[in-house]
Amino acid sequence: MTIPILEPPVRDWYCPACKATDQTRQHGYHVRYHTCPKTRFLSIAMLPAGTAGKVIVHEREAYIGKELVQYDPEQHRPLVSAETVRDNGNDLIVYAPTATASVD
Amino acid sequence: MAFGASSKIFSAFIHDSVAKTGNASLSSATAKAALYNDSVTPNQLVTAANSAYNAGVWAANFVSDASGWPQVGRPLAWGSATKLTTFADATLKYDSDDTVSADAHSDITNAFGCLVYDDAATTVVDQGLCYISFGGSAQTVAAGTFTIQWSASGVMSIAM
Repeated sequence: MTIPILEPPVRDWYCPACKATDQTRQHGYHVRYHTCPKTRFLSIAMLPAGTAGKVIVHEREAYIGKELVQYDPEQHRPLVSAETVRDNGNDLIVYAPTATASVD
Repeated sequence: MAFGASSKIFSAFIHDSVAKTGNASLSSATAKAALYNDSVTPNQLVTAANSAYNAGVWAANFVSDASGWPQVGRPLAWGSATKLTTFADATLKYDSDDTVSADAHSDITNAFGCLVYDDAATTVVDQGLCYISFGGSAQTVAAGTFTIQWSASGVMSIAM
């Protein structure tokens, strides 16, 4: 008996900010990230080729105090999230602070 | 009532770990992150029972998507991240791979933070480990992917 080998589908991706392209060969749901030079060198979710979109970086507006927040590697501004806005919705990467044991 | 902008480890978790009165653990691979809206007012000094998922202030005001990010939360995973630093490190760090919604068409509205809890804890069921504020602002996804990118400093850390 011959067992067919199913090739994983090829998916084309692009970055809406810097236009970098990539391919994945993987079964099932997955997201392709890349470090984007046009978006302060943050790790940004790429979009499937053919999907229009843009990337918006949201900086933190709340007081930082003792919080261990994440900063962007280029401008060292405190971050909340990076949003990829599409025609039919949006994707979000939340840059989570680190929980600490100190009492404010 | 507001989630606030602070991210804290529950003191009850640290106490119970040292006193060996609980079985929530950072070494287990059963932690989950459940999302909440701004109507939750977290307190790091609550009892272990009130730090748990679906108890105390964490018993309501969930933010979820049925398939993408269920109410019980998404599991933390350790494909590449080192779960726990060793005793020789100056900072005890608990880390995880980034936590991503289970599909690319999630609807998540006004998430202000998350509760990280041990889904396998039984002494106090689903005891809370820590809570994370997303910076005091609403995080919303429509028909998309919601990702929590944990800090290089870890999900939680304790400086020695």
